[in-house]
Amino acid sequence: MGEDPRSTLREELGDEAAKALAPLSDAEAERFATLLAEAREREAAALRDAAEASLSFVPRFARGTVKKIVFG
Amino acid sequence: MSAALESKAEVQKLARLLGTEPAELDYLEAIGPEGLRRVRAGAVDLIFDADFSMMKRLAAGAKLLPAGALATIAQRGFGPLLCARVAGYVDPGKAVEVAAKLPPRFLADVAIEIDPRKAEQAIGKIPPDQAAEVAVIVAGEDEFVTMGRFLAYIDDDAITACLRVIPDEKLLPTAFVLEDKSRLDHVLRMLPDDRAANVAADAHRNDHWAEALDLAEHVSDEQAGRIADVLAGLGDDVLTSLVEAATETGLWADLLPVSRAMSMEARRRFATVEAIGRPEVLEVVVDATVAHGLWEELLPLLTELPEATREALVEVARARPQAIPGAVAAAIEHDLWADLVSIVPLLDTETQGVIAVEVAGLGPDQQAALIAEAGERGLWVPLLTIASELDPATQEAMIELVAEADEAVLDDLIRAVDAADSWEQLGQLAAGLPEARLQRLAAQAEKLGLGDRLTAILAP
Repeated sequence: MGEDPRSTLREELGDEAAKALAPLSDAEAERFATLLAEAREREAAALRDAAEASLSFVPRFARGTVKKIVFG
Repeated sequence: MSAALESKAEVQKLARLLGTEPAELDYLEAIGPEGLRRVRAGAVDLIFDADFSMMKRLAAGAKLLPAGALATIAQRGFGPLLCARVAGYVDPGKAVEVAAKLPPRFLADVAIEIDPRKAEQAIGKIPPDQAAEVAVIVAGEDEFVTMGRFLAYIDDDAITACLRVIPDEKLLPTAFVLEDKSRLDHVLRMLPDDRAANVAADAHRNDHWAEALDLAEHVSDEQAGRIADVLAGLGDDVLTSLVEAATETGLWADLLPVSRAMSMEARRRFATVEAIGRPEVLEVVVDATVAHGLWEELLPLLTELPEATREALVEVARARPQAIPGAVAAAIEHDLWADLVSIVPLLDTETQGVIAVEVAGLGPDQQAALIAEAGERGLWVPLLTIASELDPATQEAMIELVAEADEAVLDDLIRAVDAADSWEQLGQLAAGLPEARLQRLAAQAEKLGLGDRLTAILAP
């Protein structure tokens, strides 16, 4: 993780959570930030896959419109 | 709940959210339950809000379609993950309508993936039969965090239906991570006695002691007493395992309040567990009591311990600075006079004097209550020890109260004095009694074949 894990945690979880995590050692903070990033990526990928898969159910001619609705 | 148990439950929920094992996050327990709740709230926002706009758009689209079509699209197109995310943004009435057309397996997967902030809105109105079908699947997969969220938001009829189908051994782990623990008392009341006993036995079989003690902490005194009495009624091996688990995993601060909630009979039974008397256990018990200010909880158990264990425990406490003064202060504050009196013979003279001053300061009604309780609990000898430290006026008042008691009480007193060879103490106190009272005492002693002993010590 390139960035300072504590800054990342503050940015992603907010000030209150970052304050709560302050007693962690640098290594623990990094470990937690990595875990959080992994969970976030996993979630995003799973949702992307689910949304893509849902398109296969849509008739081919309407996919473009539905894709626009789903993905913005 | 003790902060340690609350942290453990929070870590379990956070681990579920992040898709990892609780053991991977054990270092987070140190930040405490409140900190963990903030971290979890931040993580929920981060993870579930990432695709907020997409969910809003999908929910807007769902509004336009009939429930039947949505149920088909949900199963064949969206899948459980996407449905779980969208469910929180759809009108609850529509969500229930769609859910009614979905199979339990699919709904269980949706429940597992649902945004915890939207769970109430999305699943709160699920009908009892369907809730039970989902509960069977979720509980069967040990998805306790999901189960805890599910039970926290559904209505009473749905809870009753779920309780009917959730196996006993799944109830404690579910209760431990229940999202709204203020409902635990209510849920426990719905559980019949035989199942409550099975749940307690499960704590032993599956090492769910932390969960069981946590449950007792979150319910009313009445329900805690029910759990405590069920626990105390289990076999010696079960209670030994409870004592050992509490000692090894730092749960005495949670176990002592449970022992306090026990009925007198159950506490007496629990006090006989041999493992409590082990030196390493006594050390841990005293340390937990001192660290968490739990004398109010320990004193009633202490009174019921076998004599040797009680002596050993007081000895350990005497070696801790301020422990005994803490015990005395707690007993005074919480009106635990008989419990305090029970340990008097084990204390130094100075402390006995302090207690005597406090007893002397009690009103006549409180003194009478103390004497009655001492009689019921066989605490005559410790009471005499205290009485010998009292000023003459209080001594006279107390011995008068004793002498007024009925014959059975006097018999108990005389037998206890004889068994402990405390005739001298009784003699000193009885010497000031009016002649009529003294005669009555002597007559009772005579009846028990102990008249000579009393006469001997009363002789000038």
